[in-house]
Amino acid sequence: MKKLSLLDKIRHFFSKKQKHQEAKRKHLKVLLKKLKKEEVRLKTKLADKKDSSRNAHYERLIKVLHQQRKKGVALLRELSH
Amino acid sequence: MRKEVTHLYENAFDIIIQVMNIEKDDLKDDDFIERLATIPSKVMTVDIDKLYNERIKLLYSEIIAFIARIQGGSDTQAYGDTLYDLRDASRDVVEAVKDIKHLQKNLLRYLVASNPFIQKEYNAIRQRLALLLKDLNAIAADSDNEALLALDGVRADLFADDALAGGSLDNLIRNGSITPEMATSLMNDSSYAHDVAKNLVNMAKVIFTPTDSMMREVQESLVLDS
Repeated sequence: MKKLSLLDKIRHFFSKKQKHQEAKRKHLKVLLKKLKKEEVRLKTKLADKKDSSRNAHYERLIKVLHQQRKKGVALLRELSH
Repeated sequence: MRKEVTHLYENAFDIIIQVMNIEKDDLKDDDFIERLATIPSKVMTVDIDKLYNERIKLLYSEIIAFIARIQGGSDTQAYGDTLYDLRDASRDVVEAVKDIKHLQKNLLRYLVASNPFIQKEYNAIRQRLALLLKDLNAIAADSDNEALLALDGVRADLFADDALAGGSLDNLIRNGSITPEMATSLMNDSSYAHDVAKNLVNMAKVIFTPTDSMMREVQESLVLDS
């Protein structure tokens, strides 16, 4: 079997890394859409409910989703560069 | 092995809801929190030691023995850290049952107490644990398998309106609404309930986590620091 040169090995490494990042970017985009959809759904529920403890529960979840999305958007930017 | 640990959790789940005097069907209902706000007129006592021996102890021992046998074998590396994680998850389930045992005595006592203030606080513990179990059920049943992210929401909810954290316990003592003995019990039992929740969330991180490595990697990068 032909031995790979150092340059080929480096190329192979970067192409593998690039493929991995591309797959990660695609997964992340899908996930971010889902999180956004869930945030909108909870905001609608929040508007419907009058019960304060239930509303506090929704508010906490919305805050978490918002923070996760923020983290995700920053990561997506990083992966797109 | 994951299936067996999940089975252990399901057994623990049954024990916990029995101790908390919660009907399984209550957790399916969307308005269950409101319904659980009504303090039960009578409470049922369950023999938790008997249930532990019958449904937890043997299964847990078998899980531990099986993991030990694999670790002694030659292909341990093929399992990576999964075995250790599963062993820890089983231990978390067992600890949760032990914590609920500590909580049982005062919960049953104060849920039917004549003092409405302490009754309300213990019912709040019951409601919070019910909410946690409902959330964990939803995560387990989630076909999209976004458990790691969903657990962030569970963590945020855990005892957000806890009597200790919110300062309402101080008010109850200051106003003479509850006795110092009741306050001590409430402090200890809030801590037990917190431990139950923490153990179950730790277990869920292992058991309900996505098996797809890319999905797990993406979710892990979005998980908030707790």
